[in-house]
Amino acid sequence: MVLHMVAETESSSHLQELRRGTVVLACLLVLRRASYGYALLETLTQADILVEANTLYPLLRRLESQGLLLSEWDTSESRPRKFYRTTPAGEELAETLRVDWARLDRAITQIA
Amino acid sequence: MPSLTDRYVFTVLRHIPEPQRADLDKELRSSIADLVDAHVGSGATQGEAEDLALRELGDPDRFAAGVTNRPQHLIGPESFPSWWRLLRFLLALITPIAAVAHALVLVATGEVIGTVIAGLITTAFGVSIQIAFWVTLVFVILERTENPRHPNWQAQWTPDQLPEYAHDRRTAGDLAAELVWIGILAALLLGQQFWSFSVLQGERVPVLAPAEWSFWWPYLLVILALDAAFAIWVWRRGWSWLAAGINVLLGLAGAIPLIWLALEQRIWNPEFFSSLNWTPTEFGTTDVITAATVTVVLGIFIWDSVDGILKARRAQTGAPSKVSGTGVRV
Repeated sequence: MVLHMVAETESSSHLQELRRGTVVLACLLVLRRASYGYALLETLTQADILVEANTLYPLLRRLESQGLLLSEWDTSESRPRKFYRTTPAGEELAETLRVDWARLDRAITQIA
Repeated sequence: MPSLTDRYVFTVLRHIPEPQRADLDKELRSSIADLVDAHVGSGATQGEAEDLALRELGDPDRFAAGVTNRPQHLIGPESFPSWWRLLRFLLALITPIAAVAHALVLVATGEVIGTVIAGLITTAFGVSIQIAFWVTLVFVILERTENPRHPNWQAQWTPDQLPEYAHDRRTAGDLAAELVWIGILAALLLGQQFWSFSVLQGERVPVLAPAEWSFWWPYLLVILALDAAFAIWVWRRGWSWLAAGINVLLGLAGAIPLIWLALEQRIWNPEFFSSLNWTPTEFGTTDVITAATVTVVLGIFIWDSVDGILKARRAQTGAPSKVSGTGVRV
C-alpha cells in the first residue's frame, strides 16, 4: 500500500518534469492569436494539454518579461482583460522548440 | 472588510516590485473573476466559487515567486558543489587552528585541564557555526545577484583537479616521510641530553629528566626502532587488521609509560625550567605542564591508532585511498 503510493508520487513527479517545457511551447503556439489568461487555460485544457492556473498565470508574465509575448489591455468589455500575443522572438523560439520536439519524438520512437 | 480575493491579491503583491503591482493587481482580479464565473456556471455558490478559484491559484507566495522568477531555494544545484567544497575546506582548516590556539592560550594562562578541554570544544563548535553561517550567507547572496545559468563567479572544474588514489601499497615517499619523522624523534631524544640549548654555569641542562636514562629513555629508543621496522613491514605488506593491531600495541607501548611518567612528574628535568628562570614549583604550573604533556601524548596515540584502523579497513574493502596533498582545492 505504502509502496504503491510512493511509486505513484514518483511517477507523477517524472510526468511533471516531462511536461514542464511543453506548456511554454503550447502557449507560444496558441497565442499567435491574441488571448487572455482564462481563455488560454480553457483552450489548453480542451486540447488535452494539462496545465494548472497557478502555473499558467505566472508563466505568461515571465514570457512577457522575456520579450516572447506582448500584452495589451482590452477595456472594451465590462471586465478589463489582459491579452497576450506571441512576438516574432516568441515565434522563433516556438519553431526551435517544435523542431526539437519532433527530433525527440523520432528518437524515442526509434529506441522504444 | 476586505474579501478573500482582496486578501489574496494583497498577499501576492507584497512580494512584487512596485512598478509591476498595479498591472498585476488588475490582471489577477480579472483572472480570479473569470475562474469564479466558471465555478458559478457549474453550480457553485459565490462563496464556494471564490474559495475554489483561489485554491486553483494556490499559495500566494509561490505565485509571486513564479511571477518574479525568484529562486525558491537558498542554494541551488548550480552552486551547491562549490558551496559544499568551500565549507568543508574552511571547516577542516580553520576550526582546528582556532580551537587549538584557544586551548594553548588557556594552558598558558594556567587553567586546569577540564577548562582547557571545555574551551577546545566550545571554540570548535562556535567557530564551525560562524563559518557555516557566513559562507552560506555569501552563497545565498551570490545566488540572487548573478544569473545562476552563467555562474562566472564559480571556479571552472577541470579534470586535473582530481585527487590521486593509491591502493593499499604505500608510496616510497610515504615511507621516507615516516622514517624521517621517527629519526627526528630519536635525534631529539638523544640531542636534548647532550646538546641542549639551555646552558647553566657552563653546563648544558638536559630538557628531559636525566634519571630516566636508567631505563625509560633507552626503552623509548627501542620502541622508535620497532616503529621504523613496522613502517617498513607495512610498506612491503600493505595494511591489514593485523597491522592495525600491531600499530595500536606499539602506540600503547609508547603512550602508557609516557603518561605514567608525566603523572609521576618524571618526564621533564626541573633544572631545565629553572635554567629558563621558570619556577615550576609555583602553584599550578607543574599541573599545566603535566596536563599538556598527557593531552599531546594521548592525542597523537588516538590519531595514529584511528589512522591505522581506517587504512586497514580501506585495504580490506579494496577501496583505494586518497594520496594526501593531492586534489586540494576550494
